[in-house]
Amino acid sequence: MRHILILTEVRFKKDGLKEKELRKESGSSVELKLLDSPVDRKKIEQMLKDKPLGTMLILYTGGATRKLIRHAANSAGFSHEDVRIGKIYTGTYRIFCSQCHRINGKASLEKSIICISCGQHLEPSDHYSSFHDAYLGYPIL
Amino acid sequence: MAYALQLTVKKIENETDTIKRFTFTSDEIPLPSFGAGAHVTLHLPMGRRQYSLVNNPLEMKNEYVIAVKKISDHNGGSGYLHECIGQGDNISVSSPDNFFPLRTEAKHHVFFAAGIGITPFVSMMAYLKTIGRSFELHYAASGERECAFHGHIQTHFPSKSTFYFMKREEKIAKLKKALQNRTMGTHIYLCGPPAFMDILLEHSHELRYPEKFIHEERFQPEVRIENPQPFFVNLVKTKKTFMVSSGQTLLNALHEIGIDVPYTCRMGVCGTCEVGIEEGDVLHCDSFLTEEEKVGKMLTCVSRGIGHIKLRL
Amino acid sequence: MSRLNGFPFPFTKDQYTYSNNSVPLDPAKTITVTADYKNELELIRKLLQKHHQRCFRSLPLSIESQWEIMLLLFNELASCNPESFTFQKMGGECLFQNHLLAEEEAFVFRDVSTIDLEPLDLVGRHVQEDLIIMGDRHDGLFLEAGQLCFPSNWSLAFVQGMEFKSIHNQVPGIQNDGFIDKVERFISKIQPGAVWERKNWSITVTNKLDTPLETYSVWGKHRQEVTCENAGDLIHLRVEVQRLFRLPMNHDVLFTIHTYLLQLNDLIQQESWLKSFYQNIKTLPEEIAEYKGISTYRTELLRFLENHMEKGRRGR
Repeated sequence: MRHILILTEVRFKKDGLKEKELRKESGSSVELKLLDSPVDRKKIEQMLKDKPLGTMLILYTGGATRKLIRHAANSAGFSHEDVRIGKIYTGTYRIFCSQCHRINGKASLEKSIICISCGQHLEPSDHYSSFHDAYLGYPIL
Repeated sequence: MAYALQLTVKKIENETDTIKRFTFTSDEIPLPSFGAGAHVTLHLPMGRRQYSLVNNPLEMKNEYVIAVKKISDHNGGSGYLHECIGQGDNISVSSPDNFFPLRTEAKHHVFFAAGIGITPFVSMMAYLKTIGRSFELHYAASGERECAFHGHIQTHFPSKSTFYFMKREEKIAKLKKALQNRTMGTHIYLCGPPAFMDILLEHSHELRYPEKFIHEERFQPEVRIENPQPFFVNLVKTKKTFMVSSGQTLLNALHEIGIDVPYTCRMGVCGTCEVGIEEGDVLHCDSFLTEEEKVGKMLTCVSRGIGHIKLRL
Repeated sequence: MSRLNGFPFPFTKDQYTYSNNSVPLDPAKTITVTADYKNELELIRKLLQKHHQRCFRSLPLSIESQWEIMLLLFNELASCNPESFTFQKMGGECLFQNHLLAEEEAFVFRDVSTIDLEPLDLVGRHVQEDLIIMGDRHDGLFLEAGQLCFPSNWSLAFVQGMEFKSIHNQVPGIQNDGFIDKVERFISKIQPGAVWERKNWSITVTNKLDTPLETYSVWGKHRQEVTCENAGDLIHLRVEVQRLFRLPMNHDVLFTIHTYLLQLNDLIQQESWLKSFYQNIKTLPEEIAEYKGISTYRTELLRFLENHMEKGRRGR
């Protein structure tokens, strides 16, 4: 069983705690930390660097914070599969505008949107990037 | 697709009483570059033998350097090199391959070597020092006199190296301790006799380190069938029976009877021509399928049945 | 007819098939210099200057492989085309001379202070190929750097940092039978120094090489304009010669893409190509046609090709 570190924003504390209990039951050593707001990337990176080899990180945060922590974790030596995303509904999806690269926050993947930066009409797809923590929005002509 | 290079023995030096360093070069061709952890395959009268390169890949001057410990008489590879090969001799060497690459993504590399297992790390440490990355070495040997590259390591990486010359029990306890309390971003590399690697591997399991952070040097013997035997094949779906002759591949034989198995590389590396095995023993010669997959599948371009096999075609 | 010479016609069968159609290359060359060198390099540099964020991306992890690729490509340019390029390396001091463009690059290997651009960005301005670095990490392949001027409807900015598998998950049928896993495994087992080549084709409705997703609204609308009459002028067969190379020193994978365009009017001059192209378009599964953007005008295109095959038969 791997050592598990759960990072959670205050608003998802309940979900984080639930995950902690589940993981404990299956025999893992689990640590839960509440994130400060705003999140300081350098501080996070420093904290992650000292975690035991084999630590798995589980995130209960919104999209933008998730992206920031994932990048900090990669810098600290966590690989792609060492970082997991907790199953929570954050209320928004991040849509990557394929025309201007702006990430738009939207409530649904079903409806088309207008990019707030370039005005392009976009159709969200299920093409997901964990690097950007966003779904690709294709242009509608 | 390693190919053979005709090289000349430029230098032979004594590293210890039983270990010699061989330097190969060529006046005619530029030697292909290689990465830290890479090895070359020497074509010797008794067969092919693989040795890790010990040069710094970034400072290679058209030379490959290996270190060989004598563990046999001249009928074995190491004994032959020690006793029958001299300066100026020519030798056929396959271009370098690498089964033991450094993990670029590591923040800190930790090497555990025993005996002649030090060789890949000599190259790795030189490389990491050049590019300014963090590493440390834990090196066990029976004594300073038997310890290959002892002086070299003391000169170039003194603050990063720990030697273990004490008695076996104490040695194991100390090496285990060195393995403990590692943090994220560390990659661990093991090279030495199987017993040494097993002890450390087992301890890393006890410490709950995921296997992906532990790397072992394992030479994979090249599988080549010296004299292929004919075999019989039953196709269970199309209900056909035929024989694959000694000069033919299974893939060819299937095509000849009109079974259009797709293929690409015909070298056992791309996996395109795989078929399911219903029954029978197979001599697997590919470098694509995993051990689990080999139970139920085979690549028809290079692998052969033994006696009689049934395929799901 | 000169446009036909050297065009890498991709169809080997009279029916569409999707497979890992890579073949090993001997000698192992990662790039090709063609007669279009100067024109294409001018375009590449213009795009890089105007749209750098779109055409170049890199993660810090890729820097050593970038250096290795720079040496590799300068060496290859010079050794394969000695009349056009020269490369010398004395210790770390390097000098690359591009006689076609009357330029030179002097730098010290692995010393970033001696170059103004990242190594991949620099060397990419001397070759016709798009260049991608797939980092071979312990948990898979990741796109870690790229200089991409001529993409076929994809975005480098979106896929940077992504896993190999996720990049390709929009290709129809690619998850069937674990196909994409097999391709990834194949790539991760490529030996140092070896080059594998495959050809990938699509169709563009203009003669533009640069068709990134970012400008789809500009070039994509032409798909509506194809008629049975103008297909010969508008439609171009686009072939990407893609090569995979295992970097010996850093163990990452260099992926080069050389894009060729052939106008349909030129293609139909060669009867066997006309026939083969027709059969492949005709047997293309609907979801692939949709993915390649051909659905909108497939009927018009097929009719155009049929007319020409008919003409050919009558002419004989």
